Amino acid sequence: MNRSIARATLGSLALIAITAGLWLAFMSSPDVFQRDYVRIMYVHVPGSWLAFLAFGVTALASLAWLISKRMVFDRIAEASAEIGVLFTTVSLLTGMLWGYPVWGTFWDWGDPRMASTALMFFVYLGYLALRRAVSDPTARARRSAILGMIAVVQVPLVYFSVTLWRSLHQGMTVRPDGIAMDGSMVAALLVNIAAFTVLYAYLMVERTLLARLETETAVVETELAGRSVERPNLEGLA
Amino acid sequence: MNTSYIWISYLVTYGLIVGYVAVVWSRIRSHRGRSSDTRT
Repeated sequence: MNRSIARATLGSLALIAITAGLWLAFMSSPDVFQRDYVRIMYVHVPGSWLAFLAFGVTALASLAWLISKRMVFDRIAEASAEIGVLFTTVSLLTGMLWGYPVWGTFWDWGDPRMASTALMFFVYLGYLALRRAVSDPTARARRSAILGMIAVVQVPLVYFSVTLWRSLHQGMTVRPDGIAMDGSMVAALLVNIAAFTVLYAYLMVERTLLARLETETAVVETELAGRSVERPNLEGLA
Repeated sequence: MNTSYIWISYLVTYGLIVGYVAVVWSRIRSHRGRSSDTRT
């Protein structure tokens, strides 16, 4: 299949899945305690899931680069980290917008889930800053691969922070003994998680394509710059 | 109940996603233009 047709198909699938997710999010039952504010969960939870998935993919691609030194893995790590930061932003902002009407506060630094998510956000912003600070492609790939593999330890820490420490944040909804939610809410949540996952796949395809084009442009521009440099005339100076 | 928190959450989420896609598309288009310029 032609690559642009495959990209368009994946983009259309993401759009259809998100439309279905939105419809379910607004048609599902309100919560007994949170009332309609529970609808914020249908973007907040998928946003957090995508952040975890994206940072996990960054770590795996970093490991793959360290083993193989193939630049395609560096591009995957970069693309996934950037998308992870985008969805951590979604998670933080929607969490704050849910927290104010339900808990009475936008933010509480004493809450381990909020504090650890904010820390994860800033560490991955640092990862993206590191990538822009190093111009040599191999040095950039090595340094960011090491950071990408270290930074991923935050993902389980953020996820289990609600059980490891005393937290304002609610506990895990999906547990080994079952799901503590109404059926229509579970459907809305799962469809939105699936829709965001398809969206992640689409964003990855587009962002890795951009990374490849950036590399190709840099190579062409370096070659052209090299051609324009002329040998200085040193005759008579010796 | 103030439903504006719900609407703002959805606007923020999809606004960020659409904005990100627009930036990536625009940069892809710009790089394709530049690579065709350098080839000529």
